[in-house]
This record gives sequence, structure tokens and C-alpha cells, in this order.
Amino acid sequence: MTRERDFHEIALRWLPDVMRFAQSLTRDESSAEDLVQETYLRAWRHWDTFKPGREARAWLFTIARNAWRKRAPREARLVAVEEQTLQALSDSEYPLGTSADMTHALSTSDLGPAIERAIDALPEAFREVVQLVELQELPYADAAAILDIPVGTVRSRLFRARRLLQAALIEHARDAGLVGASAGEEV
Amino acid sequence: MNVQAPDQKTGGEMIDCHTAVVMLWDYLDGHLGAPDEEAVRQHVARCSHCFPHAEFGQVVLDAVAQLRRSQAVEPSTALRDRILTQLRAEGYEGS
Repeated sequence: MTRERDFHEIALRWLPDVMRFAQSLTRDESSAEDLVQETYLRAWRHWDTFKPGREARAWLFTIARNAWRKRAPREARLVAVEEQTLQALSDSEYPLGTSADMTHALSTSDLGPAIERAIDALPEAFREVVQLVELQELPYADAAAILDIPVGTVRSRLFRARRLLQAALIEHARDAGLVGASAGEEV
Repeated sequence: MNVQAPDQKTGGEMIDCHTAVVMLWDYLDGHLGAPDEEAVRQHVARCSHCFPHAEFGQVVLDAVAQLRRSQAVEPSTALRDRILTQLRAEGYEGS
């Protein structure tokens, strides 16, 4: 029973986190549950390859992402095109105008639903970095290993994703009447 | 990382806005070494252009942190049962 006990204690304990990661990939409850099921099935089948001491959560996320990529290769290709477009965002400039009034209005509002919608609307390549680094609090290196990209790319995608989240929050502030229509224009 | 309001005069090495922009997210994440962190902190505290951007950056990070705290997902019993049933079909004998 050692194999079962180890799998239960090391892998199944991360079920809530794997579910949350699957939800971020699929953006659909039913598909997320199917993906989680597939992830644990694959994990069990390959449990002998899991090295003790390795971060089990990152290993499970890698399996989940690979399974998702296999299911949704077309979406992955579309994201790659979107990302090229988004490379236009410069790392060395402030992309958004802002104001003390708007920042104050946003900081005193409940931004939970708005930021959740904004993350959900991110292109997949950005959303998965936000999910791993910001929401699952994984180190850049672990996120890079899961996504099979360099650490520097994790960092740049994260920073670009935050710029997009800022843009979404400005839109939210306008829609909610927290600021005037001219607030948040490019500077 | 707290963002201090402008016009707080402190000594130390000066950096320009471009450098501050490049380092701002790492600063807000607390990922900078002590000299860089102090340089950005002083710049932001003095610069009326960079200060609102630093504050706005902090708002985004706070909102994401708030979401993280509220996002605990508890998978349904039905899902757990489905996973275990599937695993048992593959030889898993645990609970």
C-alpha cells in the first residue's frame, strides 16, 4: 500500500490547486473536472517516474497543461499569434495614464470580480503565467519548467499581463463611473 | 511594498524615470536587491510622474492578492469519487 499511500499524501492532496489550475486553462467547470480526472489518471499511471522530493504540485500542473495542450492545440496556436501582437507592449514605458483620483477610487473599491474577469479575459499565454505565479504563488523557475519556457519569458509575460490588467481596471473604473471618460488615456 | 508619497526628501543614488519604470514591478514584488530597491523607492517618492504609476501598480497587485485569498476551490465530492473510481480501475487500492 506504500504506493497508494504516497500517491494519496503527495499527489491527491493538491486536488484543489489542480482544479483551480484546470479551471484557468479551460475556463469551463465541466471541462476542468474532466481535465483534473485525466491529470490524476496520468499521474497514477506514471507515479513510478515521480522523483521523491520534487515539487508534486508543479509536476501535476505540468501533466495537466500537457493534457490540455493535447486537447486544445488549435487554441494554443491562436494564442501564439495573439502573443506576437502583444509584444508591441514596451517594457520600458508606462503604457497607461493614471491619476491619483482613479487610483484612490480603485483602491477603495471591491476589485475582486473585476480583476477575476480581467484575468479570465487574458490570452492563454499570459493567463497561465498569472495563474501560476500570482494565484498559485509558484517561483518563476517552477512556472518556467511547467510552461517549458525560459525564466525571463515568465517574467516578461507576467509584467505584460499586469499591464493588460491595469488597462482592464481603467476600463472598469470608467464603466463603473468611478472616474471621468478621459481618465486613463495614454501619456 | 509600500509606495511613499512624493516630496519625501532622502539622500542616496539618483535614478531617472526610465530606469525606475524598468525596475518598478520587481520593486513592487520586493525582488530587488537593497541598493536598487532604495534607489527606486527614493525616485518614486520624489517623482510626480512615477508616483501614481507605482501606486496604480500596487493597486493591481493588491487586487490579485485579494482574489488569491478568496479563490479557495473545494472540488466536489462527486469529482473526488469519479477520480478514485477511475484510479481503482487502474489498480489503485487507496481511499
